[in-house]
Amino acid sequence: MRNPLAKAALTATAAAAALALAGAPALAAPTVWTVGPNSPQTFSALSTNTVLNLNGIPLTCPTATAGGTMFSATGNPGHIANISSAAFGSAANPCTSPVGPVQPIADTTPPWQLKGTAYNATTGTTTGFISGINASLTVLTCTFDVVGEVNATYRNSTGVLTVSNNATRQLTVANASAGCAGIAANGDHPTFNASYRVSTPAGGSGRPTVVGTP
Amino acid sequence: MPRSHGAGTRPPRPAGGRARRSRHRSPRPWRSALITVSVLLAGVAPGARADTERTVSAAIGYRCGFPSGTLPVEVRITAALPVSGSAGEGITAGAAAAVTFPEAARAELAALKAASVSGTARLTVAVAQGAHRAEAVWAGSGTEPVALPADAEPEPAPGTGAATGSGSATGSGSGSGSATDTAGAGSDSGSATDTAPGTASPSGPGAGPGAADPVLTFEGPLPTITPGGTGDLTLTAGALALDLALFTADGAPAQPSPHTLDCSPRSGENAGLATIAIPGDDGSAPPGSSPTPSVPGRDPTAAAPGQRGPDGGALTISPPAGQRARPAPPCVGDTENAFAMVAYVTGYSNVAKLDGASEVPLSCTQLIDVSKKIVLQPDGLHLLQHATGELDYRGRPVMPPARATFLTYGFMPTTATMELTQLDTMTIDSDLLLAKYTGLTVVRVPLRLRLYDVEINGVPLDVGPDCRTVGPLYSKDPDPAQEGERHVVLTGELKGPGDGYQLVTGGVLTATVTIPPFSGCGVDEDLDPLFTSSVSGPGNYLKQVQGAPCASGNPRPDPTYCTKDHQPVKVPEPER
Repeated sequence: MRNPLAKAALTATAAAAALALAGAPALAAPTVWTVGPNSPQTFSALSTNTVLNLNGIPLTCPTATAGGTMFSATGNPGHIANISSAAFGSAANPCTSPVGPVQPIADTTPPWQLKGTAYNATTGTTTGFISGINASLTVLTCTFDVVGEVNATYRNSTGVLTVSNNATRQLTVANASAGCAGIAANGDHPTFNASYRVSTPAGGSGRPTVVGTP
Repeated sequence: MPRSHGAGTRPPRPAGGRARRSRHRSPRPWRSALITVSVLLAGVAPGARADTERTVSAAIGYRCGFPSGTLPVEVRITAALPVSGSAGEGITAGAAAAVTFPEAARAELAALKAASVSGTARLTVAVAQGAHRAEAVWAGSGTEPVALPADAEPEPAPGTGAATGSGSATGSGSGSGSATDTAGAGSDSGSATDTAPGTASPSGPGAGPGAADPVLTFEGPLPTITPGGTGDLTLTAGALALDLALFTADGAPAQPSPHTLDCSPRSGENAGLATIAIPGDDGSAPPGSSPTPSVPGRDPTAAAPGQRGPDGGALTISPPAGQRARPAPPCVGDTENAFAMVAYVTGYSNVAKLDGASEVPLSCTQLIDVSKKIVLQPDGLHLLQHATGELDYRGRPVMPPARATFLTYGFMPTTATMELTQLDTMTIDSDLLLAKYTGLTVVRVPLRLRLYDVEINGVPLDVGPDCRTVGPLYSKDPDPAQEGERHVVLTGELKGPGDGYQLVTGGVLTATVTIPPFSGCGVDEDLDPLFTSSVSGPGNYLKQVQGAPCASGNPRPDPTYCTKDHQPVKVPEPER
């Protein structure tokens, strides 16, 4: 790394992260991930509060769905689910924005991957991220892709998967069309926030569990 | 319900069975030298009760514009209407017209290489109650093509017999000389049937259609008419437009197709259709109430000023559910400019001095989404959006010409074609508070009004080609810096998520417009004062409805909003 300032900052961040891990034994990195009640099992998920915020412009979807397969895994990060379908909005409840109707199309080939990195046994909460996200959005005159990762948190007691962004796990705009001026530009980092209620098997009423152990 | 003489014994089509169009039907020879086109709007009220509803019928002479000039046609209009109604309650109905073309008119179509004809019809019905005026535009769809005989032949064309609307008891005598009746399922055969006097003879000696004359059927419900108060409600036929789909002998579309015939009632014709009593709360019929249909020799609209004024609000006309008042004109967006959009707009305009409302035809607007920026203001983030627009009617910056009937000076029935021409670029500026999804859009558009094809009391009045306002119509501008009586200002309010107007989603825009004085009106005499005194002035209300635009410049346009050929999917309905 040629930038000494950046190198210093990175070193400091790594040191801080190491300290944080050392001070939080409950979050000791698990390497064995047990998915229940079955493994593998199909799942479906429904969100009613999906918002992609792009340069201050909220792109809101009143409904969003996802589905795929969950399975037990080893390692850290632990690859515990494949998201093989994702949809945003519906004919009755389309996605909207102040700059025009929004038509998102998720590309889940290859599947998006849910990976666990930490587990809190006290709360039964898995934290991790979703990688491989790839979606195309049309907002009136503007068409662009978002690719990248989001943070993910799954709580066994509620069956709710919460996703969001930070500087590490983020989405990036690509392939912005000429009509995106004022809305999106290549390299922009939109934020994505949503809570999905997860059921297993897909379309069923069961609540999946994820447990990580060192 | 028979559609023509000789077809009366034909069973109606099954309920819900819309007649299938067949482009390959061989033209059948005719005995008559006439074509009778029956536009069936009537009898579509299943279960009509004799004591509350009747079928009315009136024959009206029209003139239609053919390629070589105007020619007379005879039109029988039929409607199944209630005898009376109530203030605030919508009146729905079917109606009918039988259009009989003389041989000369048929020859005009034959010259277009048409061997058979079908199509759609649009009839403007002037609705009046006391001093209130409105227009209802009925749109009907044709059923089967009717053969155009190459020459007069004695054979009837039974294959073009009656067709009924879905689930309806429909029928009409075809053309002149036939009695209109009601028969058929769901309709009491004993319900009142009124045939207006003078309907028995079309123009031209011996021109009455015979029993075997083929009939082309159009069907469709009238818009819902809601009287705002009590008093007689009168319906008067106005302009009729026939969008004729012409087919060659081998069933292929003839060119040009559709071929539009614009028709107007002939001078001196009684175009009255019906009078519907709207009694007061005590059930008493106001003076002048009459359960009769058209009144011979009396234009019900002209008689209106003599009636007791209605006790209540204005008339409301709303399109039939699920049906557009008129077909959408071509509206192809620009695909070269990445920020290009295209949208339909329609609505109603009120001319204050005429106390009348007329529909603003569905028009096409080409838009450019010029700029967007997010600005932090004390109450939060605002989206400021600027766009421009151009009207697009067949490539010209005008709204489609609108034929309007109104009362000049409150008593002279006047029909005119109104054309609004855009003089300069339309601007659309929005300021939206993102946190609340609220805000205001201001549309500024310089428009000049021209009048032509004027008829006063049925008598053509040559106003010349340049009878127009001396300058643009204008509104008070909310921005003092842009004040200057240069443009109409339409405003649209966004009240919350999905509630109200936004350029990008469409919605309702309103304006209060001042119409400047007229200039250039009249050929042999100066008619400027006539139109200036009767039309010009402030306080004219305009309500426009914009449909969601198609972002035609997007390489991957959203199919929810764009057709494959980059036209808007969303066609708005006018609102009052």
